[in-house]
Amino acid sequence: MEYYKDEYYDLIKASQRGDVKAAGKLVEAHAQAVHDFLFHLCGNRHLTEDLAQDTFLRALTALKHYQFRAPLRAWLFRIAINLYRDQRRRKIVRNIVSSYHDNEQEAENIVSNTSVQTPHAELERKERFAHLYKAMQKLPESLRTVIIMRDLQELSYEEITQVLHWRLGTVKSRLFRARKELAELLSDFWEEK
Amino acid sequence: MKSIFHPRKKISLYLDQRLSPEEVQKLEEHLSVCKSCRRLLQNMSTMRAVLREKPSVSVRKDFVSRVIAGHRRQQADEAFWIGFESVPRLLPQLAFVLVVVLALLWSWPQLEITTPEAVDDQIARVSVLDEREMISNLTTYDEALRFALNGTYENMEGDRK
Ligand SMILES: [Zn+2]
Repeated sequence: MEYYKDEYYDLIKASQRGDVKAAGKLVEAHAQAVHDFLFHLCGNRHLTEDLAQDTFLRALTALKHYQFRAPLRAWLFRIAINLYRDQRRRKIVRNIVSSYHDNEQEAENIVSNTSVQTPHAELERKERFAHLYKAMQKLPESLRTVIIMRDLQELSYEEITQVLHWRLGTVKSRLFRARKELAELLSDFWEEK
Repeated sequence: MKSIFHPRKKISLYLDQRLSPEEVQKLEEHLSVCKSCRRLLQNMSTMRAVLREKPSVSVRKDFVSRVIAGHRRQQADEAFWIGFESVPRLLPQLAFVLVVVLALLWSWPQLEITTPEAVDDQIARVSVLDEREMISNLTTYDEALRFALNGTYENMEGDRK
């Protein structure tokens, strides 16, 4: 397997030797990416915070097994996806209606919390994001995952194959399906503008 | 109306610059004449732009310190368990020994007497043994016959006297 030189190579090596300060820096450097990733995957702020913390705790424990085969960021996403799936399996008993309502509310909160630009442009941006957000939650998990990895986190196709253990052809076709479905879900709203 | 092929999959790859120069040229030719494929490209690229604005959750200020504190706790737990590392590997053997010990205890008659009913049962069995011993001690056939006819030892004793 190809040796991947991560930009955080030195910090990772130090953390693997047990340097807690270096581990803290690694967490700090990747915290936002992991939060974004989880948030788009699960669509819930509180759950995102919990899962992000668990992701890093598990990652720091397992870091000695990290072998630089993919960027650390991608490796963290893999842990995050597994935790998200575990959580969803446990969630089956919970009330779907109320969580759906929470998510609707969440979308409103997020768009109202984003930074302020000119009033009109800002409003339009909020609306666009709210629609994208809602459309995203309608995608099957595998399609949502691949589009977040590629279009939000900007992982390469090859990195995605490593993280998700999919073949390159699968990555390409699922990415296409995800984009096509999202484009269809959003076209009614975006095209009238 | 003539149906034409829309290379939609290529549009996704085009967005990621994963097409060869020849494929790019062919696709761009198609896009210049096909409104629906142009619209798909437009929507895909708008969607990506919106996604990249990343108005997502902000990371809590104490996130890093909480993770590190949790990590230190984990390490402390790990250090505690380090002496027991060989335990999981011995687990099948330990389970086997436990089963054998339990089986022995269960079949051990003395230890069986734990409830009042069990005690009564044990006493009853012992008295039956005693009776048999007495019968074997009767010396003559007559005595044995009388014992059998009278039913109880007490009656036989009475007859003797
Ligand atoms: Zn077309």
